[in-house]
Amino acid sequence: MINKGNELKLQLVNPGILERYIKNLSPWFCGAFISSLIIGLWFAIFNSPPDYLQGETVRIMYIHVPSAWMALFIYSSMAVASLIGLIYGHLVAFIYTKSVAPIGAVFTLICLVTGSLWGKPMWGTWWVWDARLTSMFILLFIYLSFIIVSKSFNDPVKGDKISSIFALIGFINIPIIKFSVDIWTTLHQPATISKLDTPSIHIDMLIPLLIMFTSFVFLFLYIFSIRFFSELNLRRYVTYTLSSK
Amino acid sequence: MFTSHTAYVFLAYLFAFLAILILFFSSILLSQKNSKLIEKIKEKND
Repeated sequence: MINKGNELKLQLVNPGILERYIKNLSPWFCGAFISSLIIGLWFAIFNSPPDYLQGETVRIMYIHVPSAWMALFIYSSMAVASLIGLIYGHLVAFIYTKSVAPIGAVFTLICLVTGSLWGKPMWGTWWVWDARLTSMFILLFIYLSFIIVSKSFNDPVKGDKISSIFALIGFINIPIIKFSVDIWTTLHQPATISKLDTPSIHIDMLIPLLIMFTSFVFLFLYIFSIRFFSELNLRRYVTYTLSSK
Repeated sequence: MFTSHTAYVFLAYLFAFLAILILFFSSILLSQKNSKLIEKIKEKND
């Protein structure tokens, strides 16, 4: 007998039913993104103090840090989905990784460019090959390589498996990024927010940072909902054309 | 090149805005393109 919890689980691994759930949630994601972005930008640009050392440049942090978090989170979720896909063969897991990879790549690019724009006035250089920056740069290439690998196979099943293995290998880079500032001597500052004791950031700066992060989460969910349908439709078309040959 | 720190802040926000805008519109266009593929299948089956 299937209880309600198991029924929901079964529905979530069915692409068609999941599509309906996401379709209903998509406008809410969009609304939540726009409203949290407006509040976040108001706090980040107008209602947060300049830093005593960095001055106005600190406002770059409100887009740089959330985009870095999103880039790491999206790749980690891709690795988990790839593992689930390889073990259980769920189509949804494969479609998820393909849908979110370009979003993760864009967040990584935003992180790198905004970091560079912060680095020039603060460090006096656009770029240094230190551990954090280099590992983040590698992440961008891992994202791009994943996108290329996942689109390189005519047989979708083979493509799913190989791109998932690639995503799992690329996951090695995530702990390297996270702990690069602790292991090596880097120009990049160590963790400020995710410390186990109290964060070494003032509450007036923490609030806009968290609101901007929330808005980026909703942006991710909204774009994912669009790309999920797109990938699902493409998969349906490829499956149809392969079966009708 | 830039004397004011505000210019760097402006450029950073502008870049993020444009990157998100391109991501959004490319996703919409891709979604429309793939929806047309499904319509093709439906037409064939009809």
